[in-house]
Amino acid sequence: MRELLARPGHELLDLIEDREVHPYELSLEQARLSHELDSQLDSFTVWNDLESRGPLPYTPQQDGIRRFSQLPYAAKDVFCTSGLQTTAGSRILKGYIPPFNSTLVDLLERSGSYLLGKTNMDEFAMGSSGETCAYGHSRNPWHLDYVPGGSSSGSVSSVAGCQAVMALGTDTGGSVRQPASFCGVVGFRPTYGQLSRYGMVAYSSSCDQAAVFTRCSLDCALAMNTLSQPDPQDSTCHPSSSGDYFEFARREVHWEKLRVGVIREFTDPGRIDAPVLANYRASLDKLAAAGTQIVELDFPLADYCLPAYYIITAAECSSNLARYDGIRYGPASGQDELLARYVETRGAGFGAEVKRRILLGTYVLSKGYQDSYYDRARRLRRDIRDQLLSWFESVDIIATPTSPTLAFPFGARNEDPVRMYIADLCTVFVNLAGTAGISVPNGFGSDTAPDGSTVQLPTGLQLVCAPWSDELLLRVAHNFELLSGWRYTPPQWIAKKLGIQAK
Amino acid sequence: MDTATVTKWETVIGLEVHVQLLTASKMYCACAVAEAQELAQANRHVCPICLGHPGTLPRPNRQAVVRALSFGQKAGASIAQRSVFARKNYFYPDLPKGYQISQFDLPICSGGAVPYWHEGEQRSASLVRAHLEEDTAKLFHLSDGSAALDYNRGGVPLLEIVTQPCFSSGAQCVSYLDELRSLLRRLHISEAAMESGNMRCEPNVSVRPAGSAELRTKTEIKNLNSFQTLRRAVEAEAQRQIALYESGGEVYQATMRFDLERGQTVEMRRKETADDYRYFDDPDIPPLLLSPSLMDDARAELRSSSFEDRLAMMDQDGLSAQAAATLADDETLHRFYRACCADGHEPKTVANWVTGELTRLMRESALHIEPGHLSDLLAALGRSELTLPQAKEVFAAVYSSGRSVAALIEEAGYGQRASGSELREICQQVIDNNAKIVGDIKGGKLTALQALIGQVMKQTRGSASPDEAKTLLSELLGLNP
Repeated sequence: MRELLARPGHELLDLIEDREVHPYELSLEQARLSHELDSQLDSFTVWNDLESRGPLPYTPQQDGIRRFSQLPYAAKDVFCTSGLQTTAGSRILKGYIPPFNSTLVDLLERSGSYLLGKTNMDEFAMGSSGETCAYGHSRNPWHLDYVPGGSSSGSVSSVAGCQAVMALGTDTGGSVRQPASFCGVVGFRPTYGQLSRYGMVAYSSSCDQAAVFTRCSLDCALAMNTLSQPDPQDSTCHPSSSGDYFEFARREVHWEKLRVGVIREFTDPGRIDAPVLANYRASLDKLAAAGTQIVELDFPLADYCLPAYYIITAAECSSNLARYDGIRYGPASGQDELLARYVETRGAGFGAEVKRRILLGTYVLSKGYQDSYYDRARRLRRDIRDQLLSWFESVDIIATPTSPTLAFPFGARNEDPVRMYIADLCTVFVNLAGTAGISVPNGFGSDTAPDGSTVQLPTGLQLVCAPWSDELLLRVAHNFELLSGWRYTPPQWIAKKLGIQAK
Repeated sequence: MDTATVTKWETVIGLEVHVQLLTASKMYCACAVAEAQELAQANRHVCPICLGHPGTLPRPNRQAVVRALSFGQKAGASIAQRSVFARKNYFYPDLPKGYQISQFDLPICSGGAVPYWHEGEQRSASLVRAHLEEDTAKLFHLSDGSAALDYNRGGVPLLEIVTQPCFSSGAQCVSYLDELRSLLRRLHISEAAMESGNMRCEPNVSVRPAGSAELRTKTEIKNLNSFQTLRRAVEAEAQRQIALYESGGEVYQATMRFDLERGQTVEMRRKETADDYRYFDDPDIPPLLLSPSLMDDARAELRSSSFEDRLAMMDQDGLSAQAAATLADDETLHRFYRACCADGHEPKTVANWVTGELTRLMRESALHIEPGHLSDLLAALGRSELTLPQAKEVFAAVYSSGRSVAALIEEAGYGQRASGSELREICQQVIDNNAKIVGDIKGGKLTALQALIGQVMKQTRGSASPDEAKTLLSELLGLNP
């Protein structure tokens, strides 16, 4: 059965429906394999005991729509899970066991999907490498000395490393698309408001959006059919009522009718590393050869995206993280005096990056500074959204590199936080505009490892659509996979464990 | 204090009033609103949302919005087509999320006014704004010096009503608060009971030279638990500030409390710098857009205010200011008044009965009659089936038994009156039995005739007409009519 565990979810669903494999057996086998691989990958922070929980009931809906169901998945440790520790990668939530499920975990449970466990992540989703996690670092399955990207570090390594068929992540500035590109899987962030945020530990409420890692774009569509539901618990969740993402994504794209926008600023060799740029150009060539019309776009605000993003997210996080005071849950200081208690609890509970952003956020919201920082960043955000909407009057999809760089070795960027922030260069405008984006693998590039050896690392093509056109985005992404001939295959050392051939 | 200083300064007061709204559930979650009066009942109405668990999100309570809109409509406030919930950030153990979801630059109601009576004069309190927010948890201070937290109260919907600095005395504040409380209760916006903590009033006090238009440094007085305490605290604080200025000192911006025993205000905490709550729009709640259905639901709760009732009773019904005030202030009396007037009885007569007999009887025992009882009685009186004294007697019997007016009239045999020769006979008996009074009358003290009339009325158990008795007595005594 192990050899099945590198296959996309929709193919496994076929096997389940044809009764060639039993879903619970499959999930148990997945759990065993995940445990084995975790000594190398360190994707998981806590495990769900599938064995003692037994098979989940599942009643298929009789509407003919295919949904992500009955399959094993992993969830970033930012999703609250009833009875299962949820820490958001932070010491300040060590031992916290939520009394409730996040809405998405509930929906997956009702679809008979098996939660394997919770995955490592940058603390409170603040980071681009997985290195700010308080509980160890997940590794890039393509080279264990390299970061998997972040902040959804454990979720990406679990899907890329055959430890889960699908994984939930969150994408606030690129935290699903960037790691997907680093690890050679698909990472899809839907339009803000398509998926409920209820029970998802907040970093920046206006940018946070649940997102998924899968081994193909069709699996994202499958997940959307399960997850995109209105939720009265989240006043900002109003999914577009698309009937069937999966059916729509499978349809053919007439490339000659598709207009793809290319943002000039994101093709600049001064901003984008050579191997990434090379693969990006090759992808555009494939699209052009198929008849796609490529339209060049200017983005004069490109250099303002990162500052606006870091001001808005820091401001919101300074408020969102105020609740961690050790009074109602979480580890607490024993100090009697109130201020000393706060200082000690939060001082010991938060890591350096989180503290940095809380301080920054508190500053930009303060009287006398709010006008020049926070308010200006919000105006920029509106301008960026307006820019994006105006582009979509002349193009259907925008294509950019996902990350300006390949994955990098552990520790390479820890000295300079701003260098780390640049990892989000091409992704944050999507979050600021509140729209959807997907990263699809588009090849490998070479890097020289710290030990001098040459390493092959994946790259990703980011596709972006107009807000609420998620089904078009998934359809183009799926057809791009067909056009480029890409199909997920695991790294060799993992393929060996599965007993399958690898490239 | 000599009279010179009293005339030299005037007090300027603005009021911030927080009221808990009458709703089934809390402002942003489904928990019931039920405050613990003692520690044993604490933390029973809590959930992950109002405890600020990670990942939880607020969901604004529609009923609270409707209540706020009722108030805004009644106060003639300008109601925002789009209002915004904002986060007020500060750390305190009674604030589970580390911020309070309130409203800042786009409140649901701006401006408006609450008219009120003060010492017989009509006045109006101008409002700055009224906005929605959530209550904090309640701290219980325990005997060992530690504190316990009750999150039952955390997240209860509040309306904060802020006036302009438009009051010049503590007594004026109390008159406004009286009217505001009555209005909030009538419109089912709040129970508005200061003693149970669901209405909290914080005056901002400053003083200035009389006649000046400047606004000097103000102080805020917190933790006041009754209107009378508020009045005393405001006056004491004004005196403190005046004394400071007169001795060449300065008033600092501070939060004060009132020491009941010493009758003085005491500084709790000085505000060196303005508080910085780092307000920003709450990204978890989309802006609140005004809809016709919200406005309609709010309008359904509208009814006249006590101020309006009082004005109408004076201007339209011709009642005295005092009778109108008494009737407007008491919901029961007002209900009897309205119902009897609606049945066509003359307002002044109704007012006399309600403020007289009914009030007297209500002081003696609990009310279990309906306005219809009084209306029937007034009808019988109007048809001259009863004399006034009989009517009072019947009403007392109706009041204590709850039985119908008709039944009691019949039972008492009223309706047949003593008159004519029968009455003449009784008058003669009274003259015969009261030689001393008769002597006084004949001696010229005509007012003593009243005493004889009283005797006649007593003999006839009130069934005689006092006028007829007077005529007969005068005739029998040979007095000039």
